[in-house]
Amino acid sequence: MKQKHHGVIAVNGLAKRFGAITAVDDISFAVPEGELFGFLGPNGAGKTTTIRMLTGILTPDAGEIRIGGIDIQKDPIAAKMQMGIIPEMSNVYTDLTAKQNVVLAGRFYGMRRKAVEERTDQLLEQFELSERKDDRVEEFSKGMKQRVLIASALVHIPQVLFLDEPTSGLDVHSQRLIRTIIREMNRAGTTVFLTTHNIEEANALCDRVGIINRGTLAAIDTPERLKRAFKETQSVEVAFYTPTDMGAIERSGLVNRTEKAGDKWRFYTDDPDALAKWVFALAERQKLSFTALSIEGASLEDVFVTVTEGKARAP
Amino acid sequence: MLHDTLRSYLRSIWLVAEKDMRIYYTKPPVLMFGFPFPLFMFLAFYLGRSADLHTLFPGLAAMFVFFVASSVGPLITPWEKRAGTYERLLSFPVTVNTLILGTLSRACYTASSSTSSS
Repeated sequence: MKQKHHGVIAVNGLAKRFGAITAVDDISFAVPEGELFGFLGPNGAGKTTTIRMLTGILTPDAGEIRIGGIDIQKDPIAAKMQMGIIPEMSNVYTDLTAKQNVVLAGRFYGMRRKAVEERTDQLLEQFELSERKDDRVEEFSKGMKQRVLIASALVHIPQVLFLDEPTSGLDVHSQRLIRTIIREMNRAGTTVFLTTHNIEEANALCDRVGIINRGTLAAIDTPERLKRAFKETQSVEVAFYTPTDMGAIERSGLVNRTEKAGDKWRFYTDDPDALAKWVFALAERQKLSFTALSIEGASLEDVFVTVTEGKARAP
Repeated sequence: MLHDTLRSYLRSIWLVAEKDMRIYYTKPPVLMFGFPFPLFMFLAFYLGRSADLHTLFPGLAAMFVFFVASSVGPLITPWEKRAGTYERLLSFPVTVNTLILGTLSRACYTASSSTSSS
């Protein structure tokens, strides 16, 4: 008997096949209440298939999904009532105004007309759209449409929020605004499930990330712990003012691998602290002046690449 | 419990119907197929005959309704799929049945109300 997962989002043994291709293969995980969970993966890894099953758009071939304790296959309407969803292939009604769009969404979630109108005005204000709330969305920019979309997913104050690549292709201002709002919703107690291509975004936003590769969960942990699990990608970056023989550093016995990056040298090591001290002592002895000396921890990007290339599995 | 389910079911059907009417019933292809077409068909029967306008008029009204409803019905879902609004509609607390019934009920409602008024 496999261990059952509990949480606001609880997934057990989820699988989905399209013909001969297994898109998602026996995934189990849980997202506890109040967590901001990031779901990463390369194109075609099964990210969108998973989120579509979680939000009830696709029916899984096997497995169980519980949202707030409710089985989404047995009672889809009650499960969906708790969610705010922004699917990947989604858009607002361009023939309606910003306000009509958000009000329509709120009424689908069973809100009273007066309550939904008040909440809509408040949201559009927060999303910097209140001046244009009565304009048709057709004339809006991509970022503004995305903000209307997010406003309509938040209108009923969902317990769980699903976002499929909320900031992809947007300008910096809209990205920041959307991230701020995701953070605020999360602080107010909403559980957030977010897929993204942008690893820095996941790093900056998420409490925990899951990396999916070829339909299976390759790693799931906090960003910092994932990075620490990949020690081999820690490095010390060095550049001296005068051209210097770097061979001495390589022969220090601390270096695993050397890489020249522009005018800098990058030494991969298991112990960046000792190597940095060693390089510093060398510079003292030989009276060399640094133009660069930095310790680079493993980035989430390194982790992502390592995991998805199948070189290693996170412990 | 059952009462709530039924209410949310009916509400969704009504909302889909309302949205369809607001967005799609004024689209140019619907207006073109829905109004000039039945009008000319009506004229084809009316002109050059000693038919009574009073007896033929209900027929005209019924034709308007029939053509509007049948021109918009099969178009809404493809339009929505192309615009990317269909997937979001599915993400709301609705089922596919509700969406189909909503779209159908709008057409039926339009048809029945106009026929009875004429």
